[in-house]
Amino acid sequence: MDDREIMDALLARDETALAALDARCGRLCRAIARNILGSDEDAEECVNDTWLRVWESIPPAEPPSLAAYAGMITRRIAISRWRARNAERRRAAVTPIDELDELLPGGDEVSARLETAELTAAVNAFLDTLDRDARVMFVRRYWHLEPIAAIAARMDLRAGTVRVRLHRVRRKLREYLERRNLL
Amino acid sequence: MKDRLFDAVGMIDGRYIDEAHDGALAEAAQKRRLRGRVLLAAAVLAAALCIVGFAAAGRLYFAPGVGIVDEESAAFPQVWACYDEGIKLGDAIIDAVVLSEDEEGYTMNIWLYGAKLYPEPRIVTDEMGNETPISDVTVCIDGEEYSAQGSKTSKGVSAYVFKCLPKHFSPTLRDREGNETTVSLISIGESQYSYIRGISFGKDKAITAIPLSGSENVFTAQLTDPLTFTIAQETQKTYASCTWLITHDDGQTSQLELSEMVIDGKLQAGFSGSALPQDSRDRGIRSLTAQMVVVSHNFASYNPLLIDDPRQFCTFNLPEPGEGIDCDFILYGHHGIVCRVTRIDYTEQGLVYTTKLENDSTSPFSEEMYEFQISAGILTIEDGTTQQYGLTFDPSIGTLISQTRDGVSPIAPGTEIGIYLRGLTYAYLPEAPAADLGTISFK
Repeated sequence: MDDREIMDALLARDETALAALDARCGRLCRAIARNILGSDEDAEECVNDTWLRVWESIPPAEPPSLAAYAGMITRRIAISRWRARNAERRRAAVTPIDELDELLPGGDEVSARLETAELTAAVNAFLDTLDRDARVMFVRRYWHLEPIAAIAARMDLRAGTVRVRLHRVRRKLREYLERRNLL
Repeated sequence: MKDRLFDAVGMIDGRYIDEAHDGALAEAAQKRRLRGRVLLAAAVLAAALCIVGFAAAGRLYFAPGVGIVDEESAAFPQVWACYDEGIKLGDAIIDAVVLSEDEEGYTMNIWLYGAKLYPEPRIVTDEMGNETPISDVTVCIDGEEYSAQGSKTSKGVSAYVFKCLPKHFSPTLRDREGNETTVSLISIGESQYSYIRGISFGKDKAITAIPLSGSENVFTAQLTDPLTFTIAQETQKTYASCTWLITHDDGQTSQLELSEMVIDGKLQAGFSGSALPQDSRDRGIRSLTAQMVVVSHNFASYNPLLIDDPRQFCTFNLPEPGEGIDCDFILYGHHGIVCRVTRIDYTEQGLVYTTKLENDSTSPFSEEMYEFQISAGILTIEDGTTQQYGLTFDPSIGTLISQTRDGVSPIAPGTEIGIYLRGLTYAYLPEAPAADLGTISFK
């Protein structure tokens, strides 16, 4: 089944849509969950929760891209679990969250000023300014939460190269947000 | 507030997610990749510079404007700092105040935690209509006022740099709201720098972390690199930035990114100081590891009349849109580095260069330690002379345009164009396994 057929099945409350959804997006969602949670078992639970949420939200939602929609749900579920698990424990290694967190200053004055939606709009506009490679690298690191080594292997680059380029993109993002008075 | 940007990234437009998921990522392997080896230049550093070895023994001192000197050198540190902890300037906490002597006189660095940053100075207009900019922080010395805007925030810490100050050990600081605090500076004795350690990577390279405040929360660094400083003498500006990985006493890690250092081709300048994240300060520092040093050389626009410019420009005729030319242009060939352009394509995004970086001698370092990128500029050649234009791609016109005094006119295919080197960027990754370098241990 293609995306349109899966969507029609979901709208018609046809449960065969879920198996088709798993075939279509399962690999992506499991990879996202595994990158965040580090365990196949936890990732599988996450993905199962994702299908439930998709079933409950479509309709009324009719997302243009099922893969992106399911991936977003998986990401949110996985991050919630990860945060709950790590609330009392300090992280041992620098994570993508740490890398992005350093771009923003702390302080309540920023949280009072910024809405996440406004920041998301700025990030979307910023991504438009990047060349394709840089954009893919950024999304795979900070949305997919893929390890640098995996990105490097996928793009046939060295890990050091990926690290350097992500460093430059983060610096550009900071300058972009500063110019728009979002920092 | 924490993780706010991460959450925002989580809601980006679905088309970017699809692109990253479905995209022909193998296509990325076809993009230009620059590999090169750096020939370590044999340039001689100024006598006051000291190459810092790994696990250096003996006492070392940081002499601003001079460099790292050992206890046998004639130069002694001329640094004064404020050691009062917890004093405030308005609502902000004064993290460190450091006065140092350099070639230009005295420079004061101030770090505040929790200060508001303003994008522009506040303009105060008096009764006569005169406008005076009020900066974020003002230093008052003997009735004179010196201003600076905040910059380079990291985890709520903002830095202010005041140049060419008179020597004074009790400056009064004033913030934008008019709050004032007077601080006392004392000379930093040699015992304060007993924990300076250098990291060497490569044959002649080193980077040294230097804590600036008594609480070891603010760091600067010194870069020693003959190649970088040799090339910097030919550039308009050269920047270096450094990322450190900090391992705390409890084994956890955090990152510290030092503000960029501007190299003007003379004696090295230190990186601006950066403070540890607030939540890292009480965790103690076991070691610092230099993760990455990135150097960007920005050359000036090319002036064909300037005989001493070490760059070359090579000419070609602008191809038709959608077409390209194979070439072998050497834009720069000095200090063992050769920057080549091997193909130029006229695409929808403008001119795209395929570039190659080589060195013409053997290097003791593996390619995993470096990554290079070069950028090029172009100029048009008319009537046997060269005319420097800012060339951009205007999608509304659909072709390259040149900005002249007469306005905007497109450049026709077939026009003779010169191409020259504008930028050269490379990165050192001291963490490369072969190097076994890059860690400073404090304990």
